[in-house]
Amino acid sequence: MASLSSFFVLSPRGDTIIKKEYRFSFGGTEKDLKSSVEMFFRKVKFWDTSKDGGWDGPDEAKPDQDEANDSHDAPKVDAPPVFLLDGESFLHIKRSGLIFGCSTRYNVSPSQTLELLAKIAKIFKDYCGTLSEEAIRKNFILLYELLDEMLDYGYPQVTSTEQLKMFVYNEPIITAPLVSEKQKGGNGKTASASSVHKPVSVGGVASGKSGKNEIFVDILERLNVLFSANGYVLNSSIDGCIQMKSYLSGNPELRLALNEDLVVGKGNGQGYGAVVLDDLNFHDCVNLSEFDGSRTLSFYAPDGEFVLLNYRIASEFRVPFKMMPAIEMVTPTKLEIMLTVRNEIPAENYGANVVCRVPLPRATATVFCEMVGGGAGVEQAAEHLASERVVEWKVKKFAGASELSLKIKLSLDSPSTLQTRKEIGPISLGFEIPMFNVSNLQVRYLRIAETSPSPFRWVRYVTQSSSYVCRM
Amino acid sequence: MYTATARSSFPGSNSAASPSTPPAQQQHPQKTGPLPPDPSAPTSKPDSYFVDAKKGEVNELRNLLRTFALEKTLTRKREIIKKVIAYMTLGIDVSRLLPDMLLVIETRDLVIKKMVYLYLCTYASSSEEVAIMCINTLMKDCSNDDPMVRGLALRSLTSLRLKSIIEYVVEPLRKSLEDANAYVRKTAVLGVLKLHDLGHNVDNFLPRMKELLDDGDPAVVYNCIEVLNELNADNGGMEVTRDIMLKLLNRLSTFNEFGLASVLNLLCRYTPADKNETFQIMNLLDPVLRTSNSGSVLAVIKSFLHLTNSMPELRPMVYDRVKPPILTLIAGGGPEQVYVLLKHVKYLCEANPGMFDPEYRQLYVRYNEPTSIKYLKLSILPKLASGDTAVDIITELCEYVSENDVRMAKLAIEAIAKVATERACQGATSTGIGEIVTGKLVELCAVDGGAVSSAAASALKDVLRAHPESRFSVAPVLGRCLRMGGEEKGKASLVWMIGEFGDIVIEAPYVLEKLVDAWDENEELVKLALLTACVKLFFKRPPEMQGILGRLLTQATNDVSSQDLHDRALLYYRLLKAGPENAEKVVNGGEQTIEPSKGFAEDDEEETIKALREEFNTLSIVYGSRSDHFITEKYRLGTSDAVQNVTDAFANSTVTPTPAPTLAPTPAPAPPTNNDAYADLLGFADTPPSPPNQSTAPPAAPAAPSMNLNKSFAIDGGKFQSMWQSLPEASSSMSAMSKTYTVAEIDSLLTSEGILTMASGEMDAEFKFFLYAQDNDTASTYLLQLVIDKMCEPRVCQLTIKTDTGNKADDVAKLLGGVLGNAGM
Repeated sequence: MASLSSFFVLSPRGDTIIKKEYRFSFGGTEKDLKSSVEMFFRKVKFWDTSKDGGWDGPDEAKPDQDEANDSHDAPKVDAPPVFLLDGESFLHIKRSGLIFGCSTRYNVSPSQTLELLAKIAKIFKDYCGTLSEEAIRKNFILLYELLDEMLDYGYPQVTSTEQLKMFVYNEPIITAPLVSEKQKGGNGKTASASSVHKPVSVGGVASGKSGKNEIFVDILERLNVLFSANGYVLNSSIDGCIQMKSYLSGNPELRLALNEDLVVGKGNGQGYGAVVLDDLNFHDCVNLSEFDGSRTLSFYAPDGEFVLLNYRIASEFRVPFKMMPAIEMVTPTKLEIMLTVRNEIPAENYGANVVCRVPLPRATATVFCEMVGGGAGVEQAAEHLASERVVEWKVKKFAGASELSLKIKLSLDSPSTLQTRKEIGPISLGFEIPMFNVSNLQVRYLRIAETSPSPFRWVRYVTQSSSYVCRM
Repeated sequence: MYTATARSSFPGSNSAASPSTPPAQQQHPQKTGPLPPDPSAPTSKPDSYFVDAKKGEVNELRNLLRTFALEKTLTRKREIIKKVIAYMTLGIDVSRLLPDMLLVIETRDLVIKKMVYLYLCTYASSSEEVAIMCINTLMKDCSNDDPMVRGLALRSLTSLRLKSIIEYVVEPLRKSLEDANAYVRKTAVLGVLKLHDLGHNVDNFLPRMKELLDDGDPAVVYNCIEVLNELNADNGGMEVTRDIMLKLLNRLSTFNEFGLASVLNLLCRYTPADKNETFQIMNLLDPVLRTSNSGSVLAVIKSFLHLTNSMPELRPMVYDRVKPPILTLIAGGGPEQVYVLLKHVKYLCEANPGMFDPEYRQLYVRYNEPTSIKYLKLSILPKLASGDTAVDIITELCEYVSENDVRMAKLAIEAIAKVATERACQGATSTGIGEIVTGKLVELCAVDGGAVSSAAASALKDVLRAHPESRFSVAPVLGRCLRMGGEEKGKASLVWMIGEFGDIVIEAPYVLEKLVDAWDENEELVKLALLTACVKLFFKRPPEMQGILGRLLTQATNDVSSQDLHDRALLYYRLLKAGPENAEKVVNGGEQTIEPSKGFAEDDEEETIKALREEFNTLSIVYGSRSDHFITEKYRLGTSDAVQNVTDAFANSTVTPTPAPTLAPTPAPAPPTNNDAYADLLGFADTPPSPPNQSTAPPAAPAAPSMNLNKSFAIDGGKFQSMWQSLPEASSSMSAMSKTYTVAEIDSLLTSEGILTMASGEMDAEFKFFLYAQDNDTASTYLLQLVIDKMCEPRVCQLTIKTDTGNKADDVAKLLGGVLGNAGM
């Protein structure tokens, strides 16, 4: 049994934008949904690890959490996505600052339920074109209509964008997308397929009028790299995916071919230079009959945005950026941090929106930053954010095969100790490299059956940082 | 557009915006009566209903609604209804508009229809009498030509939650279950469950529901499985036969992810016929492991674990097979999914130590993760430490200590200690790891004299309990650490260690003396630790400690700040008074060290791990405890003592072939031929009645209760339930049974006497019957609840009787007791 008691969407401030109750009073003990959602939001907002079993610290640690909470050092604690509140389990996901949540009294599968929430969020986005508080408020009738088909009495029903079209009669009201998409870095040129803000066409019959017949394909790689203080790579992995957004009319069959020399699984290492994936998984729609032979996937693309496949590479690879920090003690109360970042990708590529953050010790009194090299063509800025105790160094466009350095001069309140030096770091790097991928996984071709005129195909490669960190 | 900003953008755009017009009191009492058009009604000015007073807003809306029929364009009409819904979703109570909304229901426009239905489902229960007026339209729509409309109407009809309209719902529901369109059928299936939850007997639908398990449309089948599961919750879900299971598995690929999960859930209650079948099923499920849906992947893993229950030799292969998909999902999933997956990884590490050891680097904390995931990973990493990986993991954990997040630092320190106290320290590398961990912790103890040092000190204490051999490297620094100060808990741990290893801490008495002399400056935990430490040290180094201990005991017994402290000090004092030799035995009595392989008692989770295997891929894994600890009984599968209504009748079809009496208006199901055979059992008050086929000489009953029960009496489940809930208890008794019957035997014995079964069921520890009877003489009805405790020997039955007008409850009890051969009923 996996039935939900309620579903709701909350704004970042905790206002209920959408809510629907499925299991009403069975025995009169039911609380008002409104108040329980408010309780839920308070819990999420001010998650207190000392009170609930929702985290995994050993019991002993709990009584003395309070000081940690009060301490200004303690960062905000994120509430776990699943927790128990008054005999009711609340599950939630966050998308674009909104909370998509649900509650249940049954012992449901949490993964399944979170997948459902993610799916609902995706469908809302598909139909509104963009996911924002405004879009949801303006389209609430449409969304309730969708919700009614997606969940009945707390059981998931139809949850695919194209099947839902049959049931939906309301037209979406289009809202302007948020100007600054935080995570995407806001650079128009490098935005990924997910930033195409166009709702899917609705009404079933209206497929012709929806305008462009096109499909977006992104090969997106997120890098996790950990450097030691002397620049060696300690740990590295790539989380990759092929992400698509389809506006194709007539739902044709697609064939997507990957590198022929693609190797899946370690130990099968045939051929030098082959692309070796540790493992990968596929969207439900993919037919894998030709994958083992010719590395070709065939599928009928679902409408809207979806991830065709995910892959994972844990073996070593050539990292795009290298970080080389050095700390020098000028006097006991004066430190100099010299950080050199080298972009090792080919010169024709570049890193966009490179952001480097250097945490500083608690005893920091004054900070002076100096950028070394780069010349006039490089748009860069370094800033000391005293409240967060970091120096943030931003480079708008970091050319391939080039090197930039930052010198941070610190003066301290008290003489430097071993501990002071430990508080510097880890230095993190955020970036996006358009039209480049590290793994060499390629889309050889994307064929669309039976169409004339041929639809537009947009294939893009993007490499992003995930956890790209250098220890001191 | 319906926000406060929108309101403020029409400040006083017309006179009607002021709350004084239309007078609310005047409009309030009139519900649907014709209303003289309010001259000031702002119908012509569409934006004017944004006024400050909410009551005013609703009244404005009502006025607007009344213009609905006059509106010419569809868009305008839609706008009006949309406004009502907007208010509803903002949380403003617009239930008063119900009568007006009902007038709108007769529309052809599906958009409006849907909105009105949405409104109805929210507010119908607020005013039943009014809502009933919509039934006709809904019922008519249930036979509309458009399947979409039929489905929509039926869904709304069954979602109104009005008990009074159940009778109108039954027929459309029955028809819809047979509908040609799958959308309608799937809606109808859920309708059955909704009806059941309203307290209506749905037994009539069950045969059709079982047919629908074979429906051509997977969505119908999915709903059917879920509904049957819920109707049979007491028995752990719907009945799973080989036939059903194989049919479902054969069409597995047609289901969507939720259907798949449902089928896999059923699979976990099914035992394959042979090994071959098991392998076939596993091969069938294997491709699902390559999908990107974490719910499906975990469901398959659970199925694999279930299927290999009888073949433990296959388990290692299963673990090997499922590991890469889990890691890929963790790499690619959203943080929420990753959290749940990591919880499962943690469980798998506990259930099957070593499984993820080689992958430990992939579970390192990443700097950009939410703290919930970071903290979770910290609890997993020590479980991955084995001889080869322990050093790497300890080094990594030490890096986390220096992070800015204090809580993270503390957890990392605890994790470091766990590497030494958990399984990693088994075998030859044990001592080495103990030394490394101790070394690191000693280093951390001296870091800042704050949170980190304290956490390190308490961790060190735990490690030394497991690795007493490392005490020599700790002893020299204890005094220095203590002088640095720190948090209460850390200081207490240091004091404890100084007492424990006082024989090798040279300066021990002097360090403690300082604390004793500054008694009042110590926190309570430190004081307590000090007490223990000084007493222990006294036995090791009496000459140095005697004076200190004397002063300490005086101070502690005079300390009024803590009762505990006072009592403990007194205990030590009296022990010592009784003779130091005996006191030493008591104080140093227990073995203080723990065996590394066993771990601490509080970490012993063997039982839980076993129980959780059955609950893989559920919330239990996330919470780390069995479902009966956090799921209310009502929502649990399999067990329930709550007064369950009629579902029992169906629920037990797997256990006993109890025909539901309510199904048939014909006489109760007792075969008349047997009746005579049973008849002479009546009144066997003291001796056990023999099974019907062997009639050994029955001693005559002294006084047969003179009850004449109506054997063809029948009431339905809903009525039974409502009567049961409303009637007072007439009689309640308990007695021992001299004979052990099965449910079926009891059922037939009682039926033959005119005590008819409403529902019966077998639970883990008991049989439970809901029975009813009607007295022919007085026409009064008796409702009985019979609970037989199976666990006792002899069995004990507990009988509760309720009646509407009857006064012979005791006689009924006697009759029943006689039939079942009970003593003392």
